[in-house]
Amino acid sequence: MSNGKVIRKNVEGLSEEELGLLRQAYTTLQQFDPRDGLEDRSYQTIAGYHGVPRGYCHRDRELFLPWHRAYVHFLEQYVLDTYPSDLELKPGIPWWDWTSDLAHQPVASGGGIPNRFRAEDNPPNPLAQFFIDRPAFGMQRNTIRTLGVPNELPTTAGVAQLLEITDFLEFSLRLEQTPFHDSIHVWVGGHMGVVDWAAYDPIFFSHHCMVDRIWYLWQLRHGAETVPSRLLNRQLLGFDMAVADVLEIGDLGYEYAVNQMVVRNES
Amino acid sequence: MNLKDNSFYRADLILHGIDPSGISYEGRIFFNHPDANPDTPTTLENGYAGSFSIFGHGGCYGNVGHCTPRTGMRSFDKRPKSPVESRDIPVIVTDALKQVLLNSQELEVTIVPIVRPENADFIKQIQPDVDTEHCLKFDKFEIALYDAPQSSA
Repeated sequence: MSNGKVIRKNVEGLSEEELGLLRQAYTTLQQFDPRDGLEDRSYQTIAGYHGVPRGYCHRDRELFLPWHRAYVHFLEQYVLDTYPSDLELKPGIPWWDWTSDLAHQPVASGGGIPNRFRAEDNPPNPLAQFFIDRPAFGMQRNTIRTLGVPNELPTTAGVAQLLEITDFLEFSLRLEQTPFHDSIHVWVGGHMGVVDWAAYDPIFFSHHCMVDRIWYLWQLRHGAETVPSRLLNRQLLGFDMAVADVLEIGDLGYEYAVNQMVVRNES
Repeated sequence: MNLKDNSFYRADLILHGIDPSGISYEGRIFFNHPDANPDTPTTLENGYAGSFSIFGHGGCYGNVGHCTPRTGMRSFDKRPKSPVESRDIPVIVTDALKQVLLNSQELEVTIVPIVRPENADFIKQIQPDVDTEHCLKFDKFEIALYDAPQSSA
């Protein structure tokens, strides 16, 4: 039996079955009528936490990592709700590894954003775009991406240097800025390139899953208790959680993996 | 700026009070290259020192004053800060600064904002009032020099 935890994988490593579950989950959430925000299961409602209209995205730079960890976890709960109840191994939000060799290949060779986030016609790919219906803000259209050049993406060497930083706040600042988090938003461009609209693009959550994974790798090396104590009780806007509640990913019910298997006792 | 010592371990150029309220852009920093522009190669030979990205807010959807950062915050005011509070961004410029100091004691800093045309077009569609040309706004910058970390005995 699995330990009940959700497994977050590289999006390229999802099996066809896992990808199917994820796509169905996003389709379900995207099809909910938001009902002016009343419908909490609506992807539009959830995406609206970040910028327009709720603007919860961390107002304090020091909360960048814990707030987004809570946010990805939040969406993940709604994704899990859509899975069959007897599903033994549950795929979580997958990460987009923008440092991989594949990501740095020319687009024609599969580089840039993963193919699994690209548009398909029949059926439409819910990971490729989302139709934003916010007439009050002049926004009634599909999300778009303008996309930069693949070899501008960050590298594994850059992440390795990040992981050497010992101070949590400096690590957080460096991970947030160039050439990582902020640069990826600018690189994807379009709605992802604007704070107010970024979370409406489904790739947002897999981008932040990668950011969260890097934080997790840093925690393995430097410890989860390295966040300054003055931040521990700070509430994370929009979620019924404080910083202290999101330091251990195990407490949030997920793990990062490259693969998983269930071994049954046949004896 | 006169610099007499090239023995520092690391140098950061720290921009203070950057305004993130507008369009997203990349800011490329050049030393002693006042004519640097978006087409200038990003090499040490051209004085390229490093870059930073601004993930911009993309304008304001609220009423007048909605996105204006509050000033004179009361000590007991626990409301969240404005999402467009200005920010400070450090950029490591060690190699470029050492390169400059090999040949000069003077430092001229040029920052070139790079906005992709497709993103400028997109912002103009959704927020026509956002200035896509004069996006780089900051209060000041400083250059901080650091000694090598002390090794333990």
